[in-house]
Amino acid sequence: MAFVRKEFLHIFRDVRTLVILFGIPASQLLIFGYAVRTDLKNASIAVLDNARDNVSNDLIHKLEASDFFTVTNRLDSYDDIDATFKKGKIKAVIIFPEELSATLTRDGHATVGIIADASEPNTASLVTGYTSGIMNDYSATLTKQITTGLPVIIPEVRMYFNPNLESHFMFVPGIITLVLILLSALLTSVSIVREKEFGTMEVLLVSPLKPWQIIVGKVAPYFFLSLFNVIIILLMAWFVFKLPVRGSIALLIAECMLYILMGLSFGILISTIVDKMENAIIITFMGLLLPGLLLSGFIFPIENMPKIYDYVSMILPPRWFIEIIRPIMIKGAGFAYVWKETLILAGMTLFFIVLSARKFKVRLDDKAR
Amino acid sequence: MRRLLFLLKKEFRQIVRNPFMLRAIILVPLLQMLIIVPAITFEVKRLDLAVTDNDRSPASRELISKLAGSTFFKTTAAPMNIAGAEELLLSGDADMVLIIPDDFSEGLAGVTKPRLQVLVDAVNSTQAMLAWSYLTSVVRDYNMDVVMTRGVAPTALPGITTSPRYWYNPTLNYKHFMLPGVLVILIIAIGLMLAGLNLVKELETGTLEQINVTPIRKWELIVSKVIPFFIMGLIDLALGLTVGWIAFDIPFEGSILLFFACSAIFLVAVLGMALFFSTLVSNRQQYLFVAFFFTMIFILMSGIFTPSESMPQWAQQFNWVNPVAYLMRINRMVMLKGAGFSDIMRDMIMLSVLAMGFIFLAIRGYRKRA
Repeated sequence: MAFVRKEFLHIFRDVRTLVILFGIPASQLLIFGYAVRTDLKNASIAVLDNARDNVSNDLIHKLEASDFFTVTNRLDSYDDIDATFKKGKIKAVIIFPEELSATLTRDGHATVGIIADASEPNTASLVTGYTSGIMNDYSATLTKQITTGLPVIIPEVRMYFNPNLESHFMFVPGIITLVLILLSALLTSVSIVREKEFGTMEVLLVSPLKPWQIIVGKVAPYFFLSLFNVIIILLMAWFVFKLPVRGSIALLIAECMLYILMGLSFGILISTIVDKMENAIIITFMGLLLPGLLLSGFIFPIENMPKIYDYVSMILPPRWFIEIIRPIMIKGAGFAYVWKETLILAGMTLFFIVLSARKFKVRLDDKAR
Repeated sequence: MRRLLFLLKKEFRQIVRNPFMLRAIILVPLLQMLIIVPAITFEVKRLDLAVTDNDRSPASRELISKLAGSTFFKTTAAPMNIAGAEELLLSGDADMVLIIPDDFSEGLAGVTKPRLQVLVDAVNSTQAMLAWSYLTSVVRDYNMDVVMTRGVAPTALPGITTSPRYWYNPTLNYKHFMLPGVLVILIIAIGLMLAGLNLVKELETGTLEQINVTPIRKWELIVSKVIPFFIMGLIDLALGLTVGWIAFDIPFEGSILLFFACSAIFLVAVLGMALFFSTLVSNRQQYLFVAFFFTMIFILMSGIFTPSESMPQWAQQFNWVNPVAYLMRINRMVMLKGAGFSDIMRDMIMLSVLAMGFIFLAIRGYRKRA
């Protein structure tokens, strides 16, 4: 018990780390909530208007009026386009052909060209997607002016779980995942390996404390720290973004505890394998954090990746955890929807624990000799 | 000068003595490139579409087969009612549900108005909007087909279509976009993390004090610590680029010299940051978290995943001091668009100013330490 107290004191004495520990989720919430957008807002586009008639003016107006675009340049010739793109400010150029209005009246059909800067592919497809959406809207207003009893199909849409189409619904569960890895896996492994490096681990081993007590003592504070951090994140998300937890909070917290345990056991496992802090950091970073961030479905949906990543990400605990907390938090799903993933996470945790126990025992035997 | 060479020898020896780290420095960039680059894409590949057909007429079947035939949709279940549809959305088995009302074909005939109901899983809002716009364009195509078979002239249903062309990356290959970003992450990992940890280790283990009482000058110590990681960073960059070129056929339109010159300036900035942070902490654990904190912020805000121009004003102003933002822009412009020196000159100058700024802060921090 005294040992656990000592660990707690160690942690709280390190004010800088503590501040950062709570600063990380706060800053991430802020960034993902307000800065990083996978959507378009006031994207700079240029216009090459060869028509200069009322149709093109109307369309340019519509583009300007939308939240997505800001028309910043008017080009005079096709040859200017490359140079303008090279400067790097314009995302796309909209080209209106000559005699646009006349063509429209005569043929009923006209084509407007878009040249998008595809060095940012996501922006490029959004630009073309939204531009054609605006063109479609305009076409619909033209049709209304002509209506002759022709069938015009009207699809109505209902956006589930996120009617205001906020982009941060996706991210908050991901932030929780990230922060928990940091706290439970990284901190644990670093803290245990540090004792090894400084030789104080041996001192602990010869003390009356049993090995499992040492480990639990080291790990317990991080468990509570992580849990506390999760609660803070949820509160911040609620107060700042009005992001509710639609499902059962108890279930959410329980799943978080399981995940924290997973992180802790991973940290312990790593600490039995390496003896230098730098190595522990490298493994946790490259093996858990980076893949956890990029391959787990946090930012980039797994369905969009090549099929093989579906299988690769199966060994990543964060992938399963995201599939648990996203439905619970945003869709309000109950345990019936997530029991499979929960089982998998529990299995992984058990695996890490058993492996660490065996490795630790081997080390002890080595030392005893 | 001889002292510096001695120190450099010592540093390299120490690195080699940690075989794990050595292997990591070579393998990690390779693995990162190979594994991460193909995965990170926002491109929506295939949406799971469930359809409830209450009409069951040739018209509705026509519509469904049109949807199934498109590359964006993959038809999955056919729920019986709204509750079933909502269940599919909740369990994630469908991204989108189309409900065709039982009077659809009557609507097309003009008896009523033809409606369609669409339920979309909007947890990923961008994906939801794209899905919706794909659906509406297929529906519009179908609408045109129906109208034209009536023998009505197309002028009765006027429309403006867009014809998009994509420059610099005609296939919208995300790898071309993400590779410069992943390269940058690599450089930061080596530069900021490893270099800084190395510095703080001397502090933590007390060997820094010992060095302080030797004739070794402060600047010699700092330079000796920085140079190995500078070299490693450039090597890793070259390695990463080669892998990218071999494995992914990444184009390189611009001047490689320019690319490496800017990356070198960036490395100096990052190492300066590492030095500066190391003056703020007293042990490696703290350094880890301070460095990680800033790294995360800089990387996320830099426009690596999403364009920095879409960010609010305050975020764009922050990016004035974000070296990653500059390098991201420079890298993409040079690699993908073949931008020349005059195009990136402003960014390059700003990056250099930042680099000098960080070094200045670092030196001040070290003086205080002394």
